[in-house]
Amino acid sequence: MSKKVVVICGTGVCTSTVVMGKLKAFLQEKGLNVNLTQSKVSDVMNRASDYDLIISTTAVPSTIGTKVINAVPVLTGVGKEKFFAELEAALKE
Amino acid sequence: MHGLLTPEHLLVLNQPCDRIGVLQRLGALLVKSGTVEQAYVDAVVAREGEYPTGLEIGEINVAIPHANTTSVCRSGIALGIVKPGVKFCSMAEPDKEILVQVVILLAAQKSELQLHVLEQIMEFIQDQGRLQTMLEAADEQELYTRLTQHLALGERQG
Repeated sequence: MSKKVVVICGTGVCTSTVVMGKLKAFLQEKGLNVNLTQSKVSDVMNRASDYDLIISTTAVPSTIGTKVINAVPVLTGVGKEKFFAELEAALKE
Repeated sequence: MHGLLTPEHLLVLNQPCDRIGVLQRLGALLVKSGTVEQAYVDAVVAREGEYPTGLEIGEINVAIPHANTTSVCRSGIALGIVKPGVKFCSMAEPDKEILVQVVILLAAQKSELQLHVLEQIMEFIQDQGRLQTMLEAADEQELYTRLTQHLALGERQG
C-alpha cells in the first residue's frame, strides 16, 4: 500500500507548489509509488492522522503525531541532499 | 519571471526600515499598479506574523512574503533590496530572527504564478553572487538593469 504524503505550506499556494514539483521528480526518478497531495497547514492540523508523512515548508506544531519533515532545504537548496535522504528513509519504513 | 518583474515593482532602500514598513512599501507598489488590492498587503503582513517567510541561505538572506490568492487582481512580484538589512523570522524556525536584505513579495493568482516561475525565483536566490550584484545597485533603475541582465543570462543557459 503506498504511503500517503501531504506537502504543505502556510497558504498552500506558493512554496508547497515548488516542493511538490521537486518531490514528484524525485519520486519518479526513484520509482517510488506514493499518494501525494498538496495542502496548507490549517487544513492539515485536524487531519494529520490521515497521512503517513507531512512535508512542510513552515513550522508544524509538535503536538501533531504524524512524522514531519521540514522542506525549506528544497526551497533554498541548503541541505537538500539530507532532506531527500530523510524522505527516502521515511518512505521505506 | 522576466515578464512579472517590472521597474515600478522594484525598491532600493539604503536606510534601515522595519519589517512591516518594507512589506507595506513593496505592497504599495503592487497596489499602485493595480496588481493587488490593499487587503492583500494587509494579509501579507498578518501572515508574516504567523508563518514567517525568511530564508536563511547564506551571507545574504531572502524573504518571500506572500498570502492567499484573494485580493490578487493578477500575478506579480515586487522586489526590494534593503541594504542595511531588515529583521524577518525564519520560515523553518519561526522564533528565530534573521537579517534579510532581499525581500521578494509574491502575489499569485493560483493558476497563473506557475511552478516554473516559482522555481526560477528559488533558483535565482540560491546564487549568493547574483544576490550580491543586486545589492550593489544604487537605485531602482540600476537594479532593473542588473536583474534583466542576470535573468537573460539564466534564460540563455537554461
